[in-house]
Amino acid sequence: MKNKCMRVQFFFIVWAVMLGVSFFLPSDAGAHRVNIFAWVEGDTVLVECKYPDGREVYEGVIRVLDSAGKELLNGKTNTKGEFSFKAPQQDDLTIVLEAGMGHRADWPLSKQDLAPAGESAVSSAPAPKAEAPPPAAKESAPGAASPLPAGIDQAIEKALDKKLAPVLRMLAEMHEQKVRLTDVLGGIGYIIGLVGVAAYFKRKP
Amino acid sequence: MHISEGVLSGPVLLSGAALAAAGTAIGLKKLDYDQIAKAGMLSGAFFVASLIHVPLGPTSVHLIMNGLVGLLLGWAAFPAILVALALQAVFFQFGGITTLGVNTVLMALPAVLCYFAFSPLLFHRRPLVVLAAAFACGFFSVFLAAVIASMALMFTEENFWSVAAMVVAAHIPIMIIEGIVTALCVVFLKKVQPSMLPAYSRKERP
Repeated sequence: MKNKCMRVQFFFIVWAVMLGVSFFLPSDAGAHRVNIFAWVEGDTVLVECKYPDGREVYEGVIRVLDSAGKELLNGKTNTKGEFSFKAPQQDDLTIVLEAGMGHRADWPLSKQDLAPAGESAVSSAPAPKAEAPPPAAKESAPGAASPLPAGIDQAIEKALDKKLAPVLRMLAEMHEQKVRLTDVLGGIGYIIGLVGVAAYFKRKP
Repeated sequence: MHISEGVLSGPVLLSGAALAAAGTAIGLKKLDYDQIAKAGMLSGAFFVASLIHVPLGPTSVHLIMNGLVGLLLGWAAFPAILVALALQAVFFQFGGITTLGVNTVLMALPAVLCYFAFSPLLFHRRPLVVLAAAFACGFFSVFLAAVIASMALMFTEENFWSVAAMVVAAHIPIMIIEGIVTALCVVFLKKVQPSMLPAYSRKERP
């Protein structure tokens, strides 16, 4: 009788532990993976690195690779998990985050994303004299793409960057994949299913 | 402890996969009908344990529970851990599919070794020995996992001793926590469900 009582207690505790784990999920999700998100603001590339539970990766090593896989620059994230750099060249970049002990994530940044950055880098010199007629030689390349004069083009670019910054931040937050309860329950379901399969194949004839 | 994709070189991944396949084959062969439910339960526990993490400096460590899985399953720890790791890779993006083999070996091999080292002591007459064996099982399974992880990382990060020292040092708290958790589980199971423990049928019957 006592034994049976203990057994009931055992299963009760197992379930209590499982429930307890699932209640702590939103705040206590695992941190064995890192998230990286990068976007362009003006001529600067901003990188944000977080663990899946929302904590920032500080002192994470960032390496920026070009399309050939050559390392262009590297650095470490600050205490807020952020890192920024001036796009060194217009190319398909890959930003790699290494948070130590096998934690790694990367974020591709295509040429198109960087295009405005390249433009403003080229035209930043004559910017103070925005009223003056644009110097034809350097401005002609970006100017040819749009019917607007280069000055307005640049102003729009800047305004858009400013307005879009919070949206990009929001996207960054949405991009972080957190561990969800459905995933946990799904995984447990799979395991129960596999136990069934194993039991079927190992059954005594 | 999970190693992410894109960190290790091809030969390391391949040899990891080969070892994991061999271990899993042995495990499935040794897994008899009565053990299946237990293997499933422990696979589930392993799957969920990785969500309980302890923040620690710049990174954080989570429970691994490979010691307990190994202690209760022996060779069957290989398939149980493989399944749990595959699901963790798919659902939580912990580790990855290409590193599945390496990750399985680095967690299941210490589990099996600890099973052979410590399971004979579980029904020792003196409770202190039992407690110490269970603690050591949890402790060393994580320690060995850290050592194997640094061996795998050695091929990419060059200096074995500095990598090993860093990985082992980072996991010392979790080794102690795992030791305590494993000891508690063993004490609890001995009271409540001793038939779950290995060597039960040989030694002590109520």
